[in-house]
Amino acid sequence: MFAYVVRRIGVSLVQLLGLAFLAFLLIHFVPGNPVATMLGPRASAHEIRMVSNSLGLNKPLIEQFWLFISHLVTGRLGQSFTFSQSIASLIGQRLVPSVALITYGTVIAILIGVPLAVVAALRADDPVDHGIRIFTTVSFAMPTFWSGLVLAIVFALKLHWLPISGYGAGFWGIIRSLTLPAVALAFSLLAVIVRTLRSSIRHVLSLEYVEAGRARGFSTSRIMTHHVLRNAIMPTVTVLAVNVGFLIGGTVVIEQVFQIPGLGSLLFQAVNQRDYPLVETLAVMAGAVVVFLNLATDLIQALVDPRVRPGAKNV
Amino acid sequence: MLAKYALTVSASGGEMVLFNQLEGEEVVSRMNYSKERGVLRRMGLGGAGIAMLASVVTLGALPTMSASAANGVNSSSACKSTPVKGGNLVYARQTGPSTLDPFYPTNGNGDIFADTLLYQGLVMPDPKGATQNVVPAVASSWTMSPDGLTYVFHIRPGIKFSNGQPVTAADVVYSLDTFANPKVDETAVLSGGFKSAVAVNSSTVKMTLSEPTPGLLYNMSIFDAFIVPQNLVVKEGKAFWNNPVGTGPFKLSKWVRGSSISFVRNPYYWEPGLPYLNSVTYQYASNDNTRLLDLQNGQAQIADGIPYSQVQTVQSSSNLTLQSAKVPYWVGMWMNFKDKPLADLDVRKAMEYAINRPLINTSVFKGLGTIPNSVLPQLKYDAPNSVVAPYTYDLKKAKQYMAESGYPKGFSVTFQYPSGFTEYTNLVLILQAEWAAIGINVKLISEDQATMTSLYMKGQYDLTFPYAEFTSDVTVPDEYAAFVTTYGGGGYSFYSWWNDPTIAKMVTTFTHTPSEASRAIQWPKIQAAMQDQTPFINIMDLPFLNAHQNNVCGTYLDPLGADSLQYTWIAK
Repeated sequence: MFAYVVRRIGVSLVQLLGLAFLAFLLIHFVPGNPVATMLGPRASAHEIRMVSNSLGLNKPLIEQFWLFISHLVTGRLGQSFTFSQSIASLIGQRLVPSVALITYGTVIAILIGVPLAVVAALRADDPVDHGIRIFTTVSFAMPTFWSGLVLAIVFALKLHWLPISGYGAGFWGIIRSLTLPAVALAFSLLAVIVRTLRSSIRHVLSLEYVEAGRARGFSTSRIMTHHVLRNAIMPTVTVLAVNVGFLIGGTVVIEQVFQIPGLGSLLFQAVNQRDYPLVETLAVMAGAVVVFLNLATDLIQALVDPRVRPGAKNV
Repeated sequence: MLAKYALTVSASGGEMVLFNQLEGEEVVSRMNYSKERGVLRRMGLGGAGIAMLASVVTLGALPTMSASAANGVNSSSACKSTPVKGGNLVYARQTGPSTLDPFYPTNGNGDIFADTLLYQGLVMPDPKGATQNVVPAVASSWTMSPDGLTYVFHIRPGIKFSNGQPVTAADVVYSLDTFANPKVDETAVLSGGFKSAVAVNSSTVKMTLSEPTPGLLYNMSIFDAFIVPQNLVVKEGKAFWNNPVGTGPFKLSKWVRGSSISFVRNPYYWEPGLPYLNSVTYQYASNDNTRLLDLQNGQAQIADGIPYSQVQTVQSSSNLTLQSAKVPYWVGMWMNFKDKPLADLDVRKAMEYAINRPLINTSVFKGLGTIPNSVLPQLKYDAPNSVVAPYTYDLKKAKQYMAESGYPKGFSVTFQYPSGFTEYTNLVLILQAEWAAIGINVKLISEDQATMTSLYMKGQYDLTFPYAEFTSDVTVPDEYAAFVTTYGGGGYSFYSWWNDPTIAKMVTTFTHTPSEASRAIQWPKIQAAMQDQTPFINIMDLPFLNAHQNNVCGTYLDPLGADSLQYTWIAK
């Protein structure tokens, strides 16, 4: 087991290094010069060269990459090109809104998704089930920028229940301003929850111990809450955990539509301005979350289920 | 150089089917697969999505014209009464500041429009936008020696920074030295001609020039030469810009980076009784739809950067006024003179005559554009159409020029245009069709702004728009006339590789003539010569489009499109 853990962590570190390398290469090879973008039309070639040198952009790529990696490892992330702030403080300011949005969106998705999955599984293949499946497919297919705008028009512009955009102050202010974007984000996650949970509930429902429970006269709701859900929810939790990566992509768009000062909108601005160190750091951060969650999932599974461990021969 | 953004990533699809086919244990592994694709897919939708956004919201578009106001005068009846003091204005803006250091802006107008509320220079562009002149600000008056080499500025008696500290000659000298120092002033290129500034006494500053450069005064009217308190900037260093003071009508109250910035009235502001507003909040919404929704919902009272696709929505809203301000903003198209066909004057003339500008104006710009008679934007000293004529649409003439050119059978070119702007997409499609009619085969390439600019500066283009939102920093032609005619020093005439020593010489004379009367005579000749050579094609002069609630009055923009909001008030 110990060897497995060490190897698994090793693999994650290699993944992170690869990710850092890719993030670095991609942003450097996209055409577009950060200094020219920053200085605008009036900058002369001489000025651009001067500012480029002061930012260290004249150094060989390999040296710039080494600098970036050493920044990551030491945790001193350096200075953003365009925000005249350190990357660490920028990320610090933008972290909470994004984390709050992703958490809120996930909670909403679970609150809506779990009951829907239960109903769909219990009424499998009848019109209710079809209705739920169509609804989740449609909600998955809707681009978040579009569903976000529709929600804003209905609940903010017409009904005046919630603000159209921005990020409120205080706990309730934040909840109010994040409700519409969180719902839009939850829409993209619903299908994942409902589909996985529905199939695993159906699978568990067909097992003998459920039959035995029924034979003893337990009510459907008792069987569902006490016996089925507990066994059926594990695959959904796993899928949900790894889908956080998916949500990070979603926030780039949704934060832009709702003007939430989070990491997604920061990344968007950083890419447009070709703020190399900021883009690289944000990309590695988002990737690190996914790598870490995958690692955690694998390790927990190995801990809980000996069959997953490599070397286990008695499968 | 307003920032508008779009990514170009293509969306992949076809994953939905997956779910219907899944059962049991297999789900987990297949879901992992769909998750990995999913991230890309969502990003893709985001990129394509933001490009599409402009056309999403069209709320009950009934084409009834509401009053348009020139550079800001709201003609609605509510604004006819006497201005009242008080009120808090929320302004939905496209982009916000990255820094409040006016000497080193890193986010273009996002920085500049916040700076304009906080600081002022010795002089400023006419804040009501009625003229293209500079008017007194921190200096209440000034004199220029007849040779144009010495300026004496008299600091406004009693003027104070927003912390109550008086403005001294030492502050002015320090600020001007900063303006001319390329190490700390990003736009020090605009200080050309500046030699030195000295304090004559505590309220008088003498500025000496190395050669007559009348454009310098205009360059000093904008952000790059704002007056700041020497003692505080020296003492606090970079920290000063987090809590700065200036002589502008407002002072900083709260800055939520990436979200909003709030200002309150500067109690020491020098214009008596101004500003009217208690506070101003710039709330940032880069998404066009979000800004308009904020405005319609009353979450904001004024919004900038109204896209043409939403002009009708604003005009049909009974509580909103569309404001169209004349600014030096143009759809400037560059032709690469390293391409032989484009260096052929007959070809360029043929291209000009083949453009149906009235059609473009109505179909793309809702009739709000102005057909240009200059290859540069609308600037001071420009002659009217009666003196320098615009190119008119004449296909017969265009074909004739083409036949007489070195390329009578036509040729092929690429045309780079910025992604994410509905207007540009519509525009280039029309141009492509119009130039096809004279045998020019145009291949369209959509690029994001940073890529386009970078390819342009390397000369890797045939036809391109260097900047999607292309404006002049100042009202006088000196800046751009020099940029576009300076071939040497790595400038390549603003990366067009056009080289015309005759016009370049005319420009050099113009930019070094101190006499205002003589400049006014010289410029139309340069304008006419450039219009004749047409080294660039000005497709259209465009206004800045803002929209505000009907009861927001006095929303003047200066001739460069910046608002300092000291005359703005909210009617009951």
